[in-house]
Amino acid sequence: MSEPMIKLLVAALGETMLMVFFSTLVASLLGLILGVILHITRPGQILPLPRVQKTLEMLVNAGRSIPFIILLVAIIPFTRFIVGTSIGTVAAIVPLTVAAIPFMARLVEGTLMEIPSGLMDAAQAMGLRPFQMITKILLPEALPGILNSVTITMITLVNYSAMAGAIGGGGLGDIGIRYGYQRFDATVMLVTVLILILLVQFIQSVGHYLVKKFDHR
Amino acid sequence: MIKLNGIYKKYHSGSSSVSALQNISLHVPAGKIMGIIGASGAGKSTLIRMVNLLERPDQGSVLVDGMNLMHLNREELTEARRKMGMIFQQFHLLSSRTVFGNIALPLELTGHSKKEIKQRVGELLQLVGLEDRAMAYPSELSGGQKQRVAIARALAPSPKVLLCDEATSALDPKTTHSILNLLQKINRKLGLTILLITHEMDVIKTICDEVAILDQGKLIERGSVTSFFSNAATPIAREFINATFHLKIPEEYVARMKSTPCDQSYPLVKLGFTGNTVDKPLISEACRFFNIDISILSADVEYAGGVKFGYLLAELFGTQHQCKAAQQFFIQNNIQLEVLGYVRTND
Repeated sequence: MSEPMIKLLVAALGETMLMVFFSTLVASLLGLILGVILHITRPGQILPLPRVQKTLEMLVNAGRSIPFIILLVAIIPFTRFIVGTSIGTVAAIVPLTVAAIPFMARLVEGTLMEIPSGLMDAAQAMGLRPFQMITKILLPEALPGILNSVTITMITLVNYSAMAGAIGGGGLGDIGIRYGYQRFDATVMLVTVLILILLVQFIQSVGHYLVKKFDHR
Repeated sequence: MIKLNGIYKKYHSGSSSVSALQNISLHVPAGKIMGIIGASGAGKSTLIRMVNLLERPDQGSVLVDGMNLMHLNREELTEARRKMGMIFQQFHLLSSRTVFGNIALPLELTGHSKKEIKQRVGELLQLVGLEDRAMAYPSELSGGQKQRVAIARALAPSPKVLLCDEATSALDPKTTHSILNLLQKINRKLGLTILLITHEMDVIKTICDEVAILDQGKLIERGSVTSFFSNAATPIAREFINATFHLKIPEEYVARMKSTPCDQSYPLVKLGFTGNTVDKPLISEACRFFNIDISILSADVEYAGGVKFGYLLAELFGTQHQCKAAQQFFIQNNIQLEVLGYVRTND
């Protein structure tokens, strides 16, 4: 492999990491909030609001049903509104984040559902206010599950970021398609795939380590 | 301290509705331990959850320490709940917090300083005997230790009332007794009023001052534990009392037993002692008066609430006439007598 090719791959790795890191950061935060709201507004939960729940439910389902490659181009006006441009690595972060929020929210909701309902009884009997139930019971108890959700979301975003090339976002996936697939360069294809595998392995290991560290169940 | 008046609760599922509680009125005096016993599905859990309004009655009033909880708004109710402790069958500790953190939780709600919390948690750990486990996580504790942590957590805000929802039902008999001893200790030491629900008569017998029986959503009997054991009137009450005894006829006897008397056979009888039984050494009197011998196979007699009660399995050795007379004598002295069969002697 030529030196310019290696430079290209290094730059692409940087782009992928940039896209994945920032979209994971924002999507985890917003997805966590959305997941908590989805959970607590259910009937019999801390703040039952059936109508809000139904609406959010529909939005999340809608968000999750749009294929990423379509979402990427469909929300171009929104992307331009947020970051001022619809082309490039930074622009790609917007659709990546938008796609990951409902995904993360669902994972978080699932994690929260696993908290024994008796624990909420105990919290109520102890006289916790609704907000305290979220900060002192729900979130700490779900922490291992939330960390696991972040890990899964991040790995999914590595996958999605491969499509960012469609709007000039660059990244490893883009190199793989343009050099590996369209130019029939099997070496480049193999190297990009290898780097992606290592990247995902690394994210999974760190995630696993953190989950274990905070899991006292 | 706790007063329930005319509580009704129905559960609706679709078009049908089930009456969980009907016209429950109950008074737990300050400093007393009251136990409510009932079979599963009798409405015990629903009843105890009414006291801190984890579930709202459809009708009736709930007074704790003179305050009618039904009239409080959400914020006031939250405040009122902080003055009541509650423990559960499944402990419900936070897995993410250490023993120390779990006990500290209720104190964090009321704005205590770090120093105050540390001191108070230290006292509570000592009270429940877990000083050396402060930094352990609940998953590293045994069931009994978890319940001790739950008790310490419930006591942290110095409540006046402790509610125990089947607190010992998930524990083995030995641990159950150690937890009951602890509850009794805090009742005496802190003057805490305790309301507990259970399906085990042993729990009532061991620590309760007052008892009530709940059956199909109704309180069918209530009173002091003393009078309950001696005067239990309803069949369900008797059943609960009987369930604390474990008498079985040995297999070998069953094989040799006939339902009618014959040559060389002796009656095997079950003698039941209740609160009404005349308090005299009746077994040895019977031997003397009727010139028979009595061999006791097994016995389970206990002393609770000031009376002896329990059962004996015994063989009566004598002529048919003598044995009949002795049986009459037992019945006259208010022993419940049942002839289980006639055992042939081994030759």
